[in-house]
Amino acid sequence: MADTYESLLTQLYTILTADDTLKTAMGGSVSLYPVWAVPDAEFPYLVHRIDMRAGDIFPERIGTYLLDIWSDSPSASEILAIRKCLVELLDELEFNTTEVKNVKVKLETDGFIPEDTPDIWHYATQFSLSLWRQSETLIIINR
Amino acid sequence: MTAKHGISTNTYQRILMGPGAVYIGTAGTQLLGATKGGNVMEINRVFRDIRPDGAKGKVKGFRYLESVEATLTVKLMEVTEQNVLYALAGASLASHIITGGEIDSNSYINKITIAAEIKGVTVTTEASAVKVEITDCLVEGPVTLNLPAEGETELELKFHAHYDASALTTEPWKVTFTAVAA
Repeated sequence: MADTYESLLTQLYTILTADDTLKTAMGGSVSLYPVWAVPDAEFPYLVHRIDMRAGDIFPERIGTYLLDIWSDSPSASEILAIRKCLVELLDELEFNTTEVKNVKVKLETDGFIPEDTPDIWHYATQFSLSLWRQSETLIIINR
Repeated sequence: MTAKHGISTNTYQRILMGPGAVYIGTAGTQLLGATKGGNVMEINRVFRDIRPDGAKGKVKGFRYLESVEATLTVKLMEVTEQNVLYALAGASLASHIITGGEIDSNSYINKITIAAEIKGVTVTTEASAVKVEITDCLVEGPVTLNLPAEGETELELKFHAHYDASALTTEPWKVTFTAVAA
């Protein structure tokens, strides 16, 4: 059984990398890295991570899913096309995995981050997460 | 070890989620519209509390149903002619103009339903939805269209259920749990 964080990130990775519209917007395939991109990663690419904190009761967790888009393009068209796909895929999304239940994803903030390098575009999105950590809860209540 | 909480393996499958969708009409399929700030369903059943001499508190067998009030309060974002008409019981709509009038049998809305989802249910015998219906409803209370300096207005409707005069022992509300398998 996977870790809660791993389960969430894996599910989101699967959703994003399997989507044909997003693949097209990103030039044929979706490059998505956890936490930080590999050195000299090929543009465009995505980077994601999750920050989590306590909910009202111990099985509930709330958090923020941070998903950044990086693009190398003479215009903002590419990065905005990618943004459009991400919002359409993730906003108001609900899913379950073996480890986490009743996961709800909701777009909170998004916008450009200024970059010094010409033609490099950076767009940051933040989604709120709410979830029930089922696997950890079962361990906790039975220990 | 004694449990210090009520959480079990299936707790996550039994959590009712708001805000729910509100439907109007007998079929229960016509959406009333988008709401804001949540919906509140109340079934207030008041029991007479008879205290014979010597009783130091409520006494089993000495309680009788005295009144039943079932209400649903919604804050509608969709301010349509029809929704304003619902808010003004007895009023009429003609040529986009609403005018007041006396309440008659046609003023009562035969059924208002709020349906809410229970998330994450996988056991087929467990309920995945809860539906509360109230019947023969009138909207009571002032109709307030508060138009803020910025932002949208909301139309608050408080539907009050009514007994059918020909069935005074049937309370004007019903709660239905729908199993996954249904």
